[in-house]
Amino acid sequence: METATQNTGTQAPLLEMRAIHKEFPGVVALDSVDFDLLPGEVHALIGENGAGKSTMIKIISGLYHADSGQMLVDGNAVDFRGPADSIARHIKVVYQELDLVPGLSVAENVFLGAYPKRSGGRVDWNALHRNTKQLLDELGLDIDPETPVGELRVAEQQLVEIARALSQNAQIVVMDEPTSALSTDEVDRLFSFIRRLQERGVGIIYVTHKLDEIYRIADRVTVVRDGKHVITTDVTGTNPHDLVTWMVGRELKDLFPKTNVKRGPVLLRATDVSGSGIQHFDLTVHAGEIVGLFGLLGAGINTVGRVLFGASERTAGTVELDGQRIKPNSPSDAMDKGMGLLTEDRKSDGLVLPMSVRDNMTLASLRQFANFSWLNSRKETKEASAFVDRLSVRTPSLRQRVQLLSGGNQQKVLMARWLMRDPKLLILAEPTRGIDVGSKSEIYRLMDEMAQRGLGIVFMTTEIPEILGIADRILVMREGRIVAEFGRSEATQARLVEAAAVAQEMGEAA
Amino acid sequence: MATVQQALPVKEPRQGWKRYAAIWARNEELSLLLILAIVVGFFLAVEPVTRQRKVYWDLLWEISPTLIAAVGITMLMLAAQFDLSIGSMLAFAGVATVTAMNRTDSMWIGIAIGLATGPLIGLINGFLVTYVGMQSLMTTLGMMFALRGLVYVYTNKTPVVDENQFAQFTRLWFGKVGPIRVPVILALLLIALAWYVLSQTEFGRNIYAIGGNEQAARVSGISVRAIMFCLFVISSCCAALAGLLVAAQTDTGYFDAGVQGFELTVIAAVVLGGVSMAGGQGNIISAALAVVILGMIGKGMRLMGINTTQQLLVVGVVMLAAVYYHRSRRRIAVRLRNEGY
Repeated sequence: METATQNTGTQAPLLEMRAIHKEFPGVVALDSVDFDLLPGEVHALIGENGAGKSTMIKIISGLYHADSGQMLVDGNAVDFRGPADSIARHIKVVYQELDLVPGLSVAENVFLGAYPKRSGGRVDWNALHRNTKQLLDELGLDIDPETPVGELRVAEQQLVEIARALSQNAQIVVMDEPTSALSTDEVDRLFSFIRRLQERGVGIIYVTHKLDEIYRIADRVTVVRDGKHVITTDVTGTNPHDLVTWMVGRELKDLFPKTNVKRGPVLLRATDVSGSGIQHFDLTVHAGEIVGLFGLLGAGINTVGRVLFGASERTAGTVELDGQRIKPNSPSDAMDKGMGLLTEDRKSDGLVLPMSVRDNMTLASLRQFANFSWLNSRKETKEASAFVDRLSVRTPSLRQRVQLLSGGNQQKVLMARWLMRDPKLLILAEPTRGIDVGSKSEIYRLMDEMAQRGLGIVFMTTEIPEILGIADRILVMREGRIVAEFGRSEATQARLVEAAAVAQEMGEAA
Repeated sequence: MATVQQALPVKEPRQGWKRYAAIWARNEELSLLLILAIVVGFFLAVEPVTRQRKVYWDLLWEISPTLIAAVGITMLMLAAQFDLSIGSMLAFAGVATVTAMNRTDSMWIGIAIGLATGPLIGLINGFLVTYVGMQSLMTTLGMMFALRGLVYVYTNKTPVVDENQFAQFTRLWFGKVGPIRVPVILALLLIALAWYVLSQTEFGRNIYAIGGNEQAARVSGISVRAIMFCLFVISSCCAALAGLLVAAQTDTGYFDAGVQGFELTVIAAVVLGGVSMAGGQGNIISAALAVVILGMIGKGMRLMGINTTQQLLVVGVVMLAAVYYHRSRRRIAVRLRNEGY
């Protein structure tokens, strides 16, 4: 291990991958990749979508079998024929898409497949709940073990998944973007938990898109690009700029291509809106303006979009778009008057996964392709094709199932769905969640381009760098209310965090 | 389209049997036609009677009520909903038709009343599921028992005979237009209509969207409730029409019509035809083909003189085999896709 560091010294690696090669027809997914994980280290694995990270994880987890190359666990060559082999070697992969059973309780999920038993094969419920409680306490989680997992927030579910790793006594833990749905608080908690794992000598492979996290938690970082190993190095001594350059393979000049757009007339005016989870909410958006809503998880930022759009209940207040009042609780009225909403959860609220790229794009504007009731599919194809070009969606064909696209391209399909309707105002809830740096930059570019065309944009995010980079105006929310407002020039990371976490009274921080 | 494909890394043309296997594996209709060919081939080999063309027209004739009901069920299941009440609907519509004919001495009023049971029950099912928010499986299961019970109570478990013996009414079953029986024409027309609606219209696309991801459909401004409501009405209407045909067959409203698992047969056939139980995937042509396949197996065995008890066993086993075949086919399709075919 030429890259082994002084702090991990001469320890034998927990996991070693040597010249791993994996090919899919027409694509070399991994081209002779080396990787190693030392006991007690956090090894960040980064790269753009499609770079080969997930193939590596799947080989480690036994889901894929490498075409050639060698993998060693604790110095012994292994040949995983399935996930069971990997689990038997104390490897635990925490996937981004959680594999929890929503109907079962937290305790039942944590010990799924390995329930403590009493004589006669009966499940020892007391022990089950006790052990779970202990694990949750260790994680600093205040969750009742008997709560059904489906009732927890995504963030909590993720931590339950990690508790499961702990219960299985894992030696190697792979975390695939574990913080994509966590609030700052929860990230802190996760990190302190990771450090505890480290102390026990557990090795952690940490896959992420968030570069700042690497500097907070990782010891070493490995960058992969186009299936090739680019570099493995100590984190200290690198800077984010280097990382991005290694990942993208070129200088990414400007992650935030923000241009100054002249603010147009008022487009959206929401006055004293209350509804499910938000209270007395005022918002004005001008044409050509990008307004960012920032808040920690649970602050209600995403609910705002749903309430304005009518997908969640609005009990009071008025919403006007371009002078026209929008009826509460009617997405179709909001759409008719020129509003569009991209929900934060692409898979559960946005895409129709089994449908094709084209059909997903045209879903919200079928009427414009219909002569009476008959759909003109040639026209549909033409329009969808134009959007594929304009947003540079990478897909083998318009008939490709949207399920098989990468996250960034799926997001573009959803953007196309709404742009096709030629909206006046677009609400984007966490548009870059789970998307790689290159695609993020493209999404920002599209947002900027839309603003230049005079669209009003409201977007919600929990990521501070992006809101500072792309928003003209930033509203900070806390517990369903707006607690502060900043112009582009006055906003700083510290101010936003302070307002989101501490500010008590409206306007105090502004 | 052309511009999109140019943007692709050009794939080398693939050759060999795998290319044909991929075509077969990816194509639902083709794969079902292959099963049909195997089934028909088998009977042709072992039972000479099946060599007459008439057998196949008769087959379509016999299964026309099932085909008609399958149209409604397919549309409903594409939106991830179920209707278990269609078997009882068969009896309810038949009894209502003949009773009304006897009461009013008018065939047309009878037919009108019989057909009206469709929207009536469909509205109730649709209301309970979409507006009250009850699950469709349980709602229509309840409706299945309630309707059957209603028919039993009303008829006292005696068949309702058409006292006027309307010859016109029986022509609904026995009549011909050109060389084709009326029920067959009705079934084919409905299948064609359903194909058109599902594949060519906004309404149809919305059905797929609802079944594929209800939440996404809702946020895209599709009125999910209204569409689901319509689908329950369509399903019941199809079942009522099927009930009318069955009643016309014997000129009788029979209290036990469809009691032997009519709804399950239809659902099984539709699923065999590739309509996903979870909604969003499948098409009407495949579903109809699967009904024909199951019908052919039954008819072939009857022609061979196999008794009904044994038939049941064979149908069950064949169905399991067919589901296995389907599943393997899908896995092969995925594998071949990963291999680049």
